[in-house]
Amino acid sequence: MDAALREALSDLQHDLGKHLRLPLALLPRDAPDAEVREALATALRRTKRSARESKPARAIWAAFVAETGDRWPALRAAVERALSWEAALDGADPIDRAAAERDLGAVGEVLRGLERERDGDD
Amino acid sequence: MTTERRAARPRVVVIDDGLAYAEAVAKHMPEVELVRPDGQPCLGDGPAALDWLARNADHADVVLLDMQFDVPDDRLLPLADGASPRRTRRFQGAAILREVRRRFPELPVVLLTAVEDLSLVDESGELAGQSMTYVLDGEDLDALRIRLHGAARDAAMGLEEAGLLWGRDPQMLALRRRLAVLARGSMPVILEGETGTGKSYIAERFVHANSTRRGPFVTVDLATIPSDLVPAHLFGATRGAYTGAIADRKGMFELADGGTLFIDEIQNVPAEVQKQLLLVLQDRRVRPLGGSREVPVDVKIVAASNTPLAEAVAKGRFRPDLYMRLSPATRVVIPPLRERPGDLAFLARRFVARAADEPDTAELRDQVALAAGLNPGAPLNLVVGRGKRSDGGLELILPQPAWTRLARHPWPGNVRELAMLLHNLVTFTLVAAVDAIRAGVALSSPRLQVDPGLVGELLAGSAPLGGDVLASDGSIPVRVSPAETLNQVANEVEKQYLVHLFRETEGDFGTMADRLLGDAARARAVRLRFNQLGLKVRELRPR
Repeated sequence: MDAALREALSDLQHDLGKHLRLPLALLPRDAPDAEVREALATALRRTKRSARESKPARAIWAAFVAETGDRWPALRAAVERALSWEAALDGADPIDRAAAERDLGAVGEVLRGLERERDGDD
Repeated sequence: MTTERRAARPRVVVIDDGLAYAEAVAKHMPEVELVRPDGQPCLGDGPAALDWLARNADHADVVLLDMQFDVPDDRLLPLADGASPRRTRRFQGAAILREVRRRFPELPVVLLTAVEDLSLVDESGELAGQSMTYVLDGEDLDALRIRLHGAARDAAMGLEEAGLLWGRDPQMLALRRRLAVLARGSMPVILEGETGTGKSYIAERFVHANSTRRGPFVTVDLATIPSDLVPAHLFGATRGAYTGAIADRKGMFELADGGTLFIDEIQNVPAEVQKQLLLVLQDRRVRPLGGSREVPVDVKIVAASNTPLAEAVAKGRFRPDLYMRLSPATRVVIPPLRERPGDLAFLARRFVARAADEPDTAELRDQVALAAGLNPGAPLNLVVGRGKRSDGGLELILPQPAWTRLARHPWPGNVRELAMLLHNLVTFTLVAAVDAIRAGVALSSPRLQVDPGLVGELLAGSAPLGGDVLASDGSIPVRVSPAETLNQVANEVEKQYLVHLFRETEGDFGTMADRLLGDAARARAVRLRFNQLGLKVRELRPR
């Protein structure tokens, strides 16, 4: 794996692996549905936020695929499953927080696995 | 006493290019106060952080620092020679941490990153192992709250970790940094230090705890085992291997498999066992006494000695090949308490608080607290002379001359001696207060004055080992030859003192152990020391 690809994966681990998971992980366990919904919206739609700008997860993923190509089916599947939670944001049903955390966290898990494979290449 | 820096709620400043952590602190952590630098929720990059801290370090109790910073090139602190801008961004937190540590060594920093990520730019563990640096792996609100609380508490109290009181002395901080690295993997570690310096505590609560080994922590104190039983004790024995071996018995190596074996007083390993020990370290297999098969063992050895092992090697008492196999490069020397006087106040405060929390004293403390109009469980805080009043709870007022005496004491029993002395100080003072309350005395304040003579009485027990009353009325004449080396002089003084003590206690090794080591159960250790110094009990007993 070349250096540019490694760095792109490493960045994605931070941008999606971490920031998809973070808003829900930093909520109290007993947070009401409104806060869970808000955290899920932050995770998916304002994923990479700073005081200056905000990028949604879908755009971060698209930029990654544009840079590296669509090389890892397992990663794509995990990201698509995470992004599918956008539909729940538009619905009225309470968010299943545990399921959302599992799906959003899975992106980081897949990326960790790829990093381990990458390290194994060395 | 050192000044404690503690705000009502710990003040947390966030260094992060994003808002997630600052928002979590502000919204979900009422127990801490989010510092808003210049009205912003966080400091967005390294230069901004260093600039603000240079002006306002006293306005933050803890720094919360993210790892990746997506900021323009001109806002990045350099990471390492040749690191690409992308890599520098990815690990910018490590570069910021390095600068914060250099400029603000006492400011606690919680670095938000996976440990494995940090190790990519901190291979030696230099950053991770520094005092006041905490790495939080895995983002979770409760874990973050616990870590922030612990960091703020350490900053207020001095460095305390898993019950270990490191203090702030540079020697101890350097030692902790070194051990944080040595704890990793299965390489042996040598811990040298005088009795009472905390070798076994450090081995268990820091080396083993940080080794990521899943097996047990097993201790073997070779001073307490007759030399002919050492091989069976260490390597195990089969039924009938020796008289009294009525069943197969696992040795300490097997019991510690997958974990850590702490060998205390390794300098006392009999010569014939040293060879066996060397083979076990080389082959990572043990053969139980009387057995025909070898058993593989995966054990991290922590070997402790209260004298320099190199000295034992030079004198021919310890095999050089075993010493080399234990790896002298991993030798860590724990300084005696007298060489870290700056930690005395911190340690004394913590030991007083701990002593008051122990079951036998907590009941007394609670009786006194109720009589003083406080709630049971109120803390007992040490205050020296007219020193700074504590924020609440009971106060143990130690007169300044008594404190001066403690500060001048050479502490031959080191931290253990200090802890026991303060435990006694607390107990005596609380008992006196409870007696007075029961006699009808009404307490007008939560301040308990320590009897000015009590410190002197408590120190008298250890003072002859090198204390400040050596030359007082109870002095012991000691004769040494000017031609002797310093080590010979030390041995000679020790020998003459032990003879004196033997006669004073009528040969009661339990009492001697209590006086010398603060633990009557360690009589065997004193007896062994007698043998090492060439003292013959038979010759000393009255005929």
